[in-house]
Amino acid sequence: MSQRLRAELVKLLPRLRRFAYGLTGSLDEGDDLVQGACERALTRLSQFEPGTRLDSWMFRIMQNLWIDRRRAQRVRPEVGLNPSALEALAVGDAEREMDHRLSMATVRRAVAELSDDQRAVLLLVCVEGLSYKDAAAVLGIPMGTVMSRLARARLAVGRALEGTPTAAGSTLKV
Amino acid sequence: MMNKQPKPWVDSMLVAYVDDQLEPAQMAAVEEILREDAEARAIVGVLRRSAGAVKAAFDQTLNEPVPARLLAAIGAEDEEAGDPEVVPVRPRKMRIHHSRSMLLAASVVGLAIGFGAGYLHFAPGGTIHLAGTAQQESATGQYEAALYRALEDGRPGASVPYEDSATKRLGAVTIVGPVVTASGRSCREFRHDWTDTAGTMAGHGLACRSDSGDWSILDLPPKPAS
Repeated sequence: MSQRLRAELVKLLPRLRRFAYGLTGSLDEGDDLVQGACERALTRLSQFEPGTRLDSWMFRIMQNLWIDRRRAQRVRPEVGLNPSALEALAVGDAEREMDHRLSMATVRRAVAELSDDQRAVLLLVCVEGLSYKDAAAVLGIPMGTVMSRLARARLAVGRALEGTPTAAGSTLKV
Repeated sequence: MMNKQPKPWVDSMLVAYVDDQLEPAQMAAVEEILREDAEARAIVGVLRRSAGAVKAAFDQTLNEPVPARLLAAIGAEDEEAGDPEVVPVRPRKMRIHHSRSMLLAASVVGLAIGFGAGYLHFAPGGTIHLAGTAQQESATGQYEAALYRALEDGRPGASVPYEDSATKRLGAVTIVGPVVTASGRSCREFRHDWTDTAGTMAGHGLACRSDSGDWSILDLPPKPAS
């Protein structure tokens, strides 16, 4: 039984890495988070309810672990998205590819600048494709909260993409 | 839904509309609003575009090989080992190698790379086996072992000293900090300081973790420390 869950967990790894990359802003730190979450999950396999979604269960473990780690760090690190490093290293490609990468980098930076709450909702819905209901269950928040956080996060990313300032707490409705 | 507020909609309603998460009647109501309200249409456009952009920005990770250490964490390599509660934290073997063509970093600095290929194999139990041509490796071997340990620690400021009695060299590798490249590769900048009979030198470099958990190292030419 646990072997089958392990096999399913292995299949999920690419998605877990993607989610962790979004949460932490860094592939390296993201992999540390995935590793920690897998280790935590393996000690709690008996708590997983068969028939429910393993991905949702893992996302919840990852989000909780990430929040724990963030609290332990107290001071928020400048997650690896140093703009000058991004630009300095974005070389060697055709310009179109470069533009694409820079806009991807812009999006990742905008996501890194969101609040933890908004970032988690955004990644679960837009990247992992969870329904609002499933995202609400993963995060333990009401659907209405999912919607308002998601709207704020998406508008913030939209502003970053359009090159307008993304000052925190600017003119947002709701 | 229509009330005395100047706008008959809220952003959270529009986002749920874009994501097709409303009841049919609600969807229809939003569509009616959109027909008449240019601002709502503009916001719907932003909400739609940002969703696609966010997905695209992180999707690349799906195409990358999963690092061996994650498979190891799940115990996927040890199915036959019999004890499902034993979870290896690290892959069984790790190696570190130098690359002459580490794409990103090399194109930034355009500098020749210090020394040739050498492999270190980290075997279970922590013993280190040197492979490759032996003679010039002993000096770099101690350095590479220290570098590997510093990289695996990874915390900015983490410092691992080493001593090479053959060359009378005392050195230390210190992690400067993380660097994420535009392609999303995860790299670390490190500093390498050492003293030997020729004097005191300082160098630095970039290390990027590759697919299977190995480190690709780019050493920049050292300078005499002032």
